[in-house]
Amino acid sequence: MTAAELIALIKLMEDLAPPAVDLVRGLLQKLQGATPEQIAAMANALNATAIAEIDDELGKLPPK
Amino acid sequence: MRKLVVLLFPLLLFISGCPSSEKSMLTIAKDAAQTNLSFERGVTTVHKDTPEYCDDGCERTLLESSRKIAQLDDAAVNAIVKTHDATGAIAKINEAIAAVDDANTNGLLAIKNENKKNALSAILLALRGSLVTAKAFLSPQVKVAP
Repeated sequence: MTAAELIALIKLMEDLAPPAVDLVRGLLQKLQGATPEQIAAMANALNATAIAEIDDELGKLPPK
Repeated sequence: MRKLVVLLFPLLLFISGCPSSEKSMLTIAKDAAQTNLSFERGVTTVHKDTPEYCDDGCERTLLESSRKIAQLDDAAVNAIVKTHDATGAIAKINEAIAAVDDANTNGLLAIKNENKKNALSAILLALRGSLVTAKAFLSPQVKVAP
């Protein structure tokens, strides 16, 4: 089923059960969103950036 | 029409995929990583712009805390995405929360300006909130000791 068909179905449902329409819209957003692997990769990248910046900054400090 | 909806709605649920607590946890862990990055940059900025408020020792202490939090957040993310190990992820998140608390109660004492201390403390509290939320998403899968 394509996204266009899903949207057409949502429009058909609108007269029947508004809460269900909201639920399906939420599910559609999840369907279009990032995968868990993509989200994990973004988190890994942010943490790696923080660690790299910290190591760089600590490297500039005089030894204890 | 109502029959059509009854028939098609389960199909919609199936093809859309069920809501995943792991995906929610990963999203919050990503937010935690972003907030930790803000903390690290905040510390660096305070040290660079006003070294009288945060000397080398202060910066070193806080950045080492931030690095520990980043490593633990990363470990929690990997425990979930690679092995679906909720128990292991919760253990890492608990360690990260402890590191945040230590930075907030002890590490920030090194900052000699109340406004800057409060600003960094607010970031740490936001980070703590994210970590607690990430843990909550995993808790239904694992019984967490009170």
